[in-house]
Parts: sequence; C-alpha cells; structure tokens
Amino acid sequence: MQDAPKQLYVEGNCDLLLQDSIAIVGTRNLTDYGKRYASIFAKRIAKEGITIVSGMAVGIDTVAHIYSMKEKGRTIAVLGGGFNNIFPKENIYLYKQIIENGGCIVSEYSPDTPAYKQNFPKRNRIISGLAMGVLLVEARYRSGSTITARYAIKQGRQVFCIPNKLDEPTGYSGNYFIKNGANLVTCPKDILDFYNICDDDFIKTAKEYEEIYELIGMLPISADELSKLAHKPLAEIEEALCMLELEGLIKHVAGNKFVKIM
Amino acid sequence: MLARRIPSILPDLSFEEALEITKIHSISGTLKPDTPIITTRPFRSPHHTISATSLVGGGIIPKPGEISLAHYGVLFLDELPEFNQHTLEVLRGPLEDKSVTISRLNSSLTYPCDFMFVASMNPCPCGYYGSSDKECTCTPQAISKYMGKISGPLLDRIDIQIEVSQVKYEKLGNEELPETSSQIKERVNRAKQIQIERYKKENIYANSSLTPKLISKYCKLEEDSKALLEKAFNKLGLSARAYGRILKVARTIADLEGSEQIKKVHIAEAIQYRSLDKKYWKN
Repeated sequence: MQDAPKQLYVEGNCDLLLQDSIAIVGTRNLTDYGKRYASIFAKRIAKEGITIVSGMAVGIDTVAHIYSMKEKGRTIAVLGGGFNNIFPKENIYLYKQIIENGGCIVSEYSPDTPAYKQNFPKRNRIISGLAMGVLLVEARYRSGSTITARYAIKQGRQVFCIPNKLDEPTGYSGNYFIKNGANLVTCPKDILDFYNICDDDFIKTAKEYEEIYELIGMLPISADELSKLAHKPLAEIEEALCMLELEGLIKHVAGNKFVKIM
Repeated sequence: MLARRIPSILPDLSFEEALEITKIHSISGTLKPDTPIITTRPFRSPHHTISATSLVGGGIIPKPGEISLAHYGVLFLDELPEFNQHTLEVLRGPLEDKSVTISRLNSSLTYPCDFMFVASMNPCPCGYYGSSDKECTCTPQAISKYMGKISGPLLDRIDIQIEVSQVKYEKLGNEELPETSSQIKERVNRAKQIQIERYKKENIYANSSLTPKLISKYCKLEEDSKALLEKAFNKLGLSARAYGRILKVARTIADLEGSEQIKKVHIAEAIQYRSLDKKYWKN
C-alpha cells in the first residue's frame, strides 16, 4: 500500500484484523433509506461471521457498527484521532460497546493525538485497506466516503454501491460509482455471492429436506401433490415447505403452490 | 357451501352458552315461538350490501347487530372484497374484544359478540388468478386493487387463511370417502375437553381467549420450534398480534392431535396458515 501507516494502535481483539471483512461507509447526514439498508447489510453480512469495518463517525458508520453487533458479529472501527480523543464525543459509548463485544478499535495516531480534521480523510485508506471490499451506502458529492471508495479502487479492493434516488444529494456518489463500473448490489446476498460465502443454514435446510426439495421444480406444485409424490403425511410436507420457504429456497405462489427459486 | 358446514363440526353448546344466545335473539325479536331456547350454534351470513350499523348493532335503542346474533356461532361474509370497506373496518374492535359497545344519545349498551369470523373471496376480479386450468385475464394492478380492499389490520386478525383450488368435475362424484362431519366433531369435542380441563383455574374455556400472559404459561416451545418462529418472524415481518395468534393456532393443532407439547410441525402448520398475508400483502 502506498503511504502505509507507520504504526497501528489497536485496542481490543486484534485477531480481527487478519479475518475477512467488509467496510460499510456512508454519509453523516443519513436518510431513512440509508439507515434501513446500512442496517440490513451490516446485520446480514455480520451474521456470516464477516467483520464489518467502518469509521465510527455519526450516521451510516454508527449504524453499521451497531447493527453488526446485533447479530453477534464483530466490528472494527478506524479512528481519525487517538484513543483518548474520541470524535464525536457521543460515540464513547459505542467505543466501549465495540470492545465489549469482541471488536477492535484501530488508529494510526498515538492515544493522545487530538482528532484533527485533516487526519480523517487519511484514515479512510486504512478502512479500505483492512477490508476485502467497500460498501458505499449513501454519500454526497466529494465526501469522505467517496475518498474511501477511491482508496479501495487504488488498493485493488471491490467497491459495492446500493442504488440511490437521483434527486437525493446523499445519493450522488453511490450512483456515480455505479455509473463508472462499481458493483451494484440490491441485497446482502449479492456481496456474499461475490466472495462465494455460503449461508450455513441455507445448506443445512436444503439437506434436511432434500427429498422434498428435489420434488419441487419450476412448475408450481401444491402440498397435496407433494404429499402423494413423496408418500409422506401432509403435516410433514407442510413443515418442510415452511422451512424451505423461510430459507428462501422456494416461493409460495398464487393457487397455493410452490416453486423453486434458482 | 364449505362455510355453511362449519357449525356442524363446532363443539356442542353448553347450557350457559345456549341461554346467552337465546337472550340476544330474544332482545332482537328474532326468536321464533316454536323454539323457546336456541340449542344450535348460530350461522349468520349477511349479504355484502349490509351497513356498518346493522353489522355491529344500533338504532335509537341499540339493538344487537349481526355480530352479536352470531355470538358463539359463525359470522360468514361471502365475497369479502364486495363489502363496503367502512363496514369491514368496524369489525376490527369487536374481533379483538369479543364484545361491542354501542353508544347513542339515549343509551350506551354492550353486547357480547364471541363469534368465529369466516370469510371467502376470489383471488382476483375474474376469479382465475393462480388457477392451473384457466388463464387469469386481470392486470396486476386490478389484482392488487382487489386484494387491497381487505385492509392489513383486518387480515392480521384472521388466523387461518387458505387458498382452495377449484373442485374438478370428476371429484364432484367423489370416489374416496373423506372424514364425515360427525367424525371431525368428535375430534373437536375431544380437543375442547382438553382445553376446558387445562384452563380450569384460569376462568377461560378455549385457546382463543388466552391472554399474552397465559400464552407464555401454556404455549411453551421447544428450542427448535422457537428458532423456527423467530426465523419466520424476521423473514415474514409478522406483527406482535400475529405472534400470539400463531401460537394459539399451534396450541389448537396440538390439542386436536392430542399432543401435550407444541411441536415444530404444529408451528410450521400455523405459519403456513398465514399464507395470504405473506404472499399478497407483503410483496
């Protein structure tokens, strides 16, 4: 990495730095839309045991940290100042929470360095450097998150963006990166698929009900027909259908029938 | 036709229940001279042109409406989307409280209305959406408009939602003998007995009257059932009300099977019964 940090101060679980991680970054003045999707992505990705990296600023960063911890996932926060000068001050609680939940805090500055404004854009290179890819949720024109995405490109990392409304100022950068070839993602699965990360539950359910799952094809089939084909009582079929549907393997369509989702 | 058969599988009336029904019918003046006491569960199926007032009750001196006349019986609304939307929405409160308070200038009366709410509807204006035999000619907008006539909160209060397919001509002749109503009724009576026995100390008679506190007492789940319910909750976006209702339905399914414990199968079945909710309204 060009201009690599000379040293890193780490507080908390430093093993995390070597594990797979995804960075989620975005604006400080987030909209409901950004909040919703940042939380959905953070939760789902963290659930697969992937660490979420962010900058512990207000807005999207905070949402990403909080929701990754909700799924008992671990998270890394990269600071722009020393450990003793958390900025913004209200995030001290979040700082403690991250460490308590087995996450870690990273900074290239010695603990007593104040949070200088000019250091924040620079720490973005660490965020993108630590992660396999960067998810840009919402970002304004020429914002800090845009810098993170640019660093990611320089460092050969993937940039993922969720599409935004054109007339939303916070949607500008996401759409700009998509236009220029970033990966457009609409659900967390897109990112997981990109890295070939499989959902354990998904496979387990498919295995458990394999016999019934095999019988469901692209043509709609009803529970009654399945029960006859599999020679199993209806209650058992219903249970299997319920589980398969909840895992997103099959879909309930009109006419009380089921089809496979490819 | 199917709905009309429902009273035939409902559990027998107790003497107190029969008296209560008779009282309501007596007030409304519909008690016939040759039946001094009503001993069968009422089945009311008002036409879809009914007004809100005649459904819940009203008048200068409020008289019981259809929902009270269906007390301890069945209120059947055929072609649900054809009903006036305002008329349907007045059902929300009574369905939850099992009583309705009608306030007028001169008086304010509370009538009981502990009825089973049964409704039927077509999947779309042409009636063939989802059919395997005939193509549906409706546009997606027409279908969602039709479905949209049933509000989410009302649908949320319906525990069992199932889609039935058309009966084929060959089936009308009926080769294999299905379970008869009296056989089913036996099972129902047995389940009812289990419930009466279980709730002896709680002053209620059926699973449907379980309060949230009692639900946690009597609807204990095993670990895997809990996980299933949690997953269903997150994926289907169910309401808190739906949570309680799914548990009550699962409890009833377990009772019908004579099973002491609510198993994963029972929970799965109860979740499947909310099919419309997840399929048409949550997309």
